[in-house]
Amino acid sequence: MTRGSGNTTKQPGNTTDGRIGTMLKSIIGTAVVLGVAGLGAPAEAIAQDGGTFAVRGATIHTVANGAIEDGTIVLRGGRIIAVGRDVEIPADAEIIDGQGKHVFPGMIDSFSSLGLTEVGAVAVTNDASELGRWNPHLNAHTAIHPASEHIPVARANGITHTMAAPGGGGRFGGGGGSGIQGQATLIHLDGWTVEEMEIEKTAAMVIGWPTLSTGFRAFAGFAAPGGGRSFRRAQERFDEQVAEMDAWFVAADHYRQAVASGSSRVPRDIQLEHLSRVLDRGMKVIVRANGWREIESAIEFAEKWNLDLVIAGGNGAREIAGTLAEKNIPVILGPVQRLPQGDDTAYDDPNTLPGVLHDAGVEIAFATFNSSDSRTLPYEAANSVSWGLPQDAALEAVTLAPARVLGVDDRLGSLEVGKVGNLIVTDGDPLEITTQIEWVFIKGVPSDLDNKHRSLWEKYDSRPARRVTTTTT
Amino acid sequence: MNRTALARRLTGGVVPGLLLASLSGLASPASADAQYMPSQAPVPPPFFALRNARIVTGTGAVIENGTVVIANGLIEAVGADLDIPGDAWLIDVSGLTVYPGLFDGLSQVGLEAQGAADFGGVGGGGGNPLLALAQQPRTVGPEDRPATNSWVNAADMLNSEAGGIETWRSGGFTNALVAPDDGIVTGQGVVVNLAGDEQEMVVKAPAALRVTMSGAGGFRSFPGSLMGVIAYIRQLYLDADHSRQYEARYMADPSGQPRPTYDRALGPIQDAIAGGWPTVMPANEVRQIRRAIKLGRDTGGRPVLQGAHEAYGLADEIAAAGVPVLVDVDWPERNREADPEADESLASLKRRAYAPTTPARLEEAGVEWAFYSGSAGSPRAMMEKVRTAIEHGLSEEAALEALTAAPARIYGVDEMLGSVEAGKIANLVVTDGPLFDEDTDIRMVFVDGHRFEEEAPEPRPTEPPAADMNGTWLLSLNNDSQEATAELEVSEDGTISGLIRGERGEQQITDGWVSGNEFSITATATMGPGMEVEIVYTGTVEGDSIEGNASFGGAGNMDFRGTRPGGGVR
Repeated sequence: MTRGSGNTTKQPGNTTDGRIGTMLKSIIGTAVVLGVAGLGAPAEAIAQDGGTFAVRGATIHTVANGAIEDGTIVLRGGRIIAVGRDVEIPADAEIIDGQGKHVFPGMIDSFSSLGLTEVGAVAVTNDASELGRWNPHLNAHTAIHPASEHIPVARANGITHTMAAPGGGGRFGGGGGSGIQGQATLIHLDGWTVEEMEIEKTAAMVIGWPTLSTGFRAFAGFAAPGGGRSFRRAQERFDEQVAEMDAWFVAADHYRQAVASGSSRVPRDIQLEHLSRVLDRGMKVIVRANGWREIESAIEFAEKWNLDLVIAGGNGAREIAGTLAEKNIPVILGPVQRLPQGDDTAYDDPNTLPGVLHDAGVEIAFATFNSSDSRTLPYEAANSVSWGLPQDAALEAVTLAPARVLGVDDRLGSLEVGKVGNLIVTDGDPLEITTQIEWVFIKGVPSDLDNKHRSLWEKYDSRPARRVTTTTT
Repeated sequence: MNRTALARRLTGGVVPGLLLASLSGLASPASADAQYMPSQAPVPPPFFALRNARIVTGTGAVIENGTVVIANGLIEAVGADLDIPGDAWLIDVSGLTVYPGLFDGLSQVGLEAQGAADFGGVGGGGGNPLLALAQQPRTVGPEDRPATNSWVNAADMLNSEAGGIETWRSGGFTNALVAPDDGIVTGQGVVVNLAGDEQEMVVKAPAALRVTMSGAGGFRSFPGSLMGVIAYIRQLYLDADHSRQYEARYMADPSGQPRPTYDRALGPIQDAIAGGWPTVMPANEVRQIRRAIKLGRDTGGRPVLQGAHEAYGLADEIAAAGVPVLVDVDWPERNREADPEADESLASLKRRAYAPTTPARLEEAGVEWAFYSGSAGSPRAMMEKVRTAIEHGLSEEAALEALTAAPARIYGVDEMLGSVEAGKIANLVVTDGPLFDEDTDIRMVFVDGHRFEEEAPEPRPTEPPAADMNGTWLLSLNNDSQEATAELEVSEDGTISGLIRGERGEQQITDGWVSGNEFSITATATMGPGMEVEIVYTGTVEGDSIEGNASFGGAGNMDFRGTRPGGGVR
């Protein structure tokens, strides 16, 4: 949280519009009272009663159907009820003057640890990783911390949704590694409870693919003489790990069949029960793989088991872009603001990757794979634009494309009538770092844009003028 | 089977890997990595059905195109037209044959602590023999219970990660009677399954008592002669009986009677007599056989003859005595190191010629007998020696029985093991041909209903060799930490034969080929008595240099490079 924030202007939601500000407080108040009373009123109901809003006279970037100059968008009951140039604004609508402003869909961080990781270096604040390599029964939903400080930070930068994913076990608890890491959950970023934030409790099964590597990690002071294991050995180890993965899928398939047969003697196994849900495309399977050989192996595996495959990571995806496009396998990319991986990899390899994949016809979505950096999602996309990714494709890759990749494009990702009222009102292109996000609507309700970055800015911006003291000796 | 056991089973390769690394003075970070977070194997529902199988049930019946249903580790049903339960995972074994899992009648596989000294007993002593002898307490009479480890139970010595378990299992052996090896009374033998953790492995404990005629060992200890050993064994049984009677009398009225002395050696002997435990005794030669029968009878034990290489002439006598026999498949061979011109005794020539006829003679005489591995260090070697017995007149049916139902009967586990019948433990071996054919490969093994798959053998590639590999190669293994010499002969079709001399002795090449610039050489090394390791060298050849990887029987890998200083020999 050390990088500069673009969100330090005064937020209209807090100050300029008294009525909306009050209403926002009353909504929040209601939610708290209901929560305390234990009535458990669904958040949906509150949002649907949340009123009617219209942004008038703005440039509306629908993503799905181009941009509308001097357009109006109306939200009611949590949904978009009208978008266009000549739109009748209901009499009871709160109106936001959109002159000179831009309206975009809220952005979706396709893969993050928002709500799961607070401070990476403090183990007790990390809920993204579990020990063990085979955890299909874990669901990130159960671990989301709605009060994470990173959530308002990301939200204030226009991120309205994320898929929060378990990071996988870890050989040193640090995440990654091959195995079944658990179920990722799709949430929006404004709620007091995870139930309120829930979009899809289970968005996908996350699998870490084995890596085919001849490199040794130094361990306990032992380094390998000669620099690493032989490729033959690495290939063997890789094949072993894929076979291990396969054994889990065989067992899951067997379990599914046994349960479906109505047999009363099948011992319940929650690992296999959850894993069997991914078979025959019953749940998305997000495979974390970077090298093209690993991706190829994952594709072969997914075809064998008829999996609804999404690749996450994809650093080496350019090598098999054609295959990914042909087989309609999307790639969740990121972060692409990184160094090239090999000593002799082209300096711009990470930067040009999104454009290359896009040109080849691969569906791409950006992600931060992080919690504190989730706010930088738009810059992942922005950076790629200067290296060949068309600007509209970049915008789509943080809005509608993630919605498609995660299977929620019927509700999220674009500004169309009937979709959920998730939008941001800005003074420019949200991929531009100087752009200010002025309003964020989630489920048709304006969100509080206050956040820790902002309060720190306020604190230090308003500190007293430097006192000049004279000391005598 | 619990998950920990499965996990350990799956990572079984790690430990030998480290062992290998430590042999070569290197720790392998990759192995350490795997050790840090042990893997976990899935536990599928325990229901399987093997369909379209040729089933040799082991009861004499053969079912063509049948089904075996396995549930919860047991065989649920066997037959030609079965309703397969919906929860069973179908495994199509068309073209394959299902046999009962094989049973090694006497083995040390999976036993961790060799040497009763580890248990505080007397006798044996692994490691430095002089040191072991020096540390032994001196025994002067039967009251010292010299080398009497009757209280040692093999079930307490099991190590489920021992390397041999996987080797024997992948060779089709699902069961063994394992018994300690040291002492006059070595201890209690146990019937084990060759899979699972230490608790799960045990099928019956104790299942036997094992007695040898080895003497107490040491320079000055009683008994040091055969007559002393025999006298001691008799004394031991008499003491056990006396102690039993005295304890009963004492417990009935302890007042005014000296209390009986606690003696851990006697309890198991009493149990063995009362429970009719099979008592395995060495009986290779004629007089050993007669002695064991008599000793067994006199002591009230139930003798089982072990060895039986000279039993071919005594089959009727053994049958009349009603004593079961464990036949050592390690048929006597001419000492490889012997002077080729030296005359051999008639007795040893005779034994070499007739020992492999023992099984056929025992079969004819109707003796209850089973095979055991003896010094045959691998399942492959064992099956080869069983084939020798078949060549000497043993029927294949009897050979199968001696590897399945017969040992199960001898050790009293025939209601659980030994045939493919409903209700028995699901220990099966699935082959791609008749069990005793040389070319037959094992494709699956089931132990307690858990499936272990063996890789189908890859067909050998047959491109013309791109390089002539004839000649003597200098190999450098594991980053130059070890050296070996390979003397290779390559025939016109690319078949490689010859031998490899490593730092730990000679390795006979049993199989090998070169195709294009790729080659594969399989060699067998004898690492110790009864310990054969199969080493597979695979790699590529270019001119006078080769490089590749050597795999040590699943226990680890080493990279190697080689050069041919003399150039090709044509």
